[in-house]
Amino acid sequence: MKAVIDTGTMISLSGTCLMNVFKVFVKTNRIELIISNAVAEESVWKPITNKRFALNAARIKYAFSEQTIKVIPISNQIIQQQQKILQLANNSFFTADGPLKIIQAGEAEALALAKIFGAKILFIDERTTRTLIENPLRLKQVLERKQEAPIRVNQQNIDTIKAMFPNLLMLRSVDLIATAFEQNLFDHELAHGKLELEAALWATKFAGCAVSENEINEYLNNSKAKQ
Amino acid sequence: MKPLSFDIEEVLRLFDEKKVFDLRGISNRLIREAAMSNDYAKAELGVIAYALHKLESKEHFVRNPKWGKVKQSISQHLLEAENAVKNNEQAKFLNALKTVIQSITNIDNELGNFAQNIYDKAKVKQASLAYSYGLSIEQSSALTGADQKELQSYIGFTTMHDDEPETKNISQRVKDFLNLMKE
Repeated sequence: MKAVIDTGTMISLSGTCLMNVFKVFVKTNRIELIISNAVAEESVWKPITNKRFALNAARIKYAFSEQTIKVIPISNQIIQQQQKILQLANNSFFTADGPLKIIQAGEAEALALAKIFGAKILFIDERTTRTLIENPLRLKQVLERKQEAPIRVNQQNIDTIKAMFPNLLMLRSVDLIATAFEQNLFDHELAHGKLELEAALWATKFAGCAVSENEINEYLNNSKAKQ
Repeated sequence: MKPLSFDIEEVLRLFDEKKVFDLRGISNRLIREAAMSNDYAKAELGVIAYALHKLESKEHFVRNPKWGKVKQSISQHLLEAENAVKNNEQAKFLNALKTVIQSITNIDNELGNFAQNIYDKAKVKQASLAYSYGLSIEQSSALTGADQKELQSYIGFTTMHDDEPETKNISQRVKDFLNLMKE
């Protein structure tokens, strides 16, 4: 099964030393994981020169060399699809001053890959791009509340972008960790226990994954994590 | 939305009058407006205002004998930037802002106590504000010039995600994934 992974999720997983859990998760579920050039640039080649982030980048680079993740070279087809997505997404919500530019090239490129390669899953920690595909009207509410201004929606653009990804499952690093726990895949890095699960979920939240404290607590209280 | 020349004039006035908290306030307004209109110039001025607020609020900067000269240079180049905007001289405007940033970075390198400089921190802090207005991480980083990883790491330690209920929670996403695997 094909899946695409975005920069933020790679950073969350490598930064929390959960790359082994991630690799076993990918292998066990036979996921063919692809990333775009832009993601490779942002998650490896740019940070590898920054002392603060070089180790995380080296962990991801190792995952490339082990073929856990395949980097897809840029092509005209990807550029065209990326531009189409940028055009639609950044002309979907309007303030009195004009269209709101909500996403950038890298995020659009991840979506373009998902579309072109027929991916079933997009691993993305980032909130705005995910909400745009899953629940664009909720994104409108968030924008209105945060910006304290009325937001006008171009419904045609929203319908078009939503129709491009009718069955794309969006997963964050916390979802991946929780699934790995439920599939009993922690033993390559951690013991299989609630304490370890809780620690791993919180670590990914602190690494920047968009998840609330309530959501983590609710999951820990209600799920198989009670084991 | 105020014109950019007005905003520069305000930043200059507040900086000259040492109105530290007002500098922070105008920085936040500039970032909000920049996020709404994708205005990179306003975003840059917003980051500068935030960095100036930080410098002015640190005793070891403002009490240093070198500060007076640095402050004078920053004010002079902010004035140049304001005039350049009024005269529609884009290159001159960008050059003046670049010099202001350089002055901030130089004095911080010389007198600061942290490995990460005040200007880079200001970019990340104000990018997180843009993110809170609903922009994506990459767009927020691009707007202020902040490093995406620094921004993600910073956001992780805020409560920003705690007041926004997700469309699907962890259990639902795990269930969806396991169902997908059965297909």
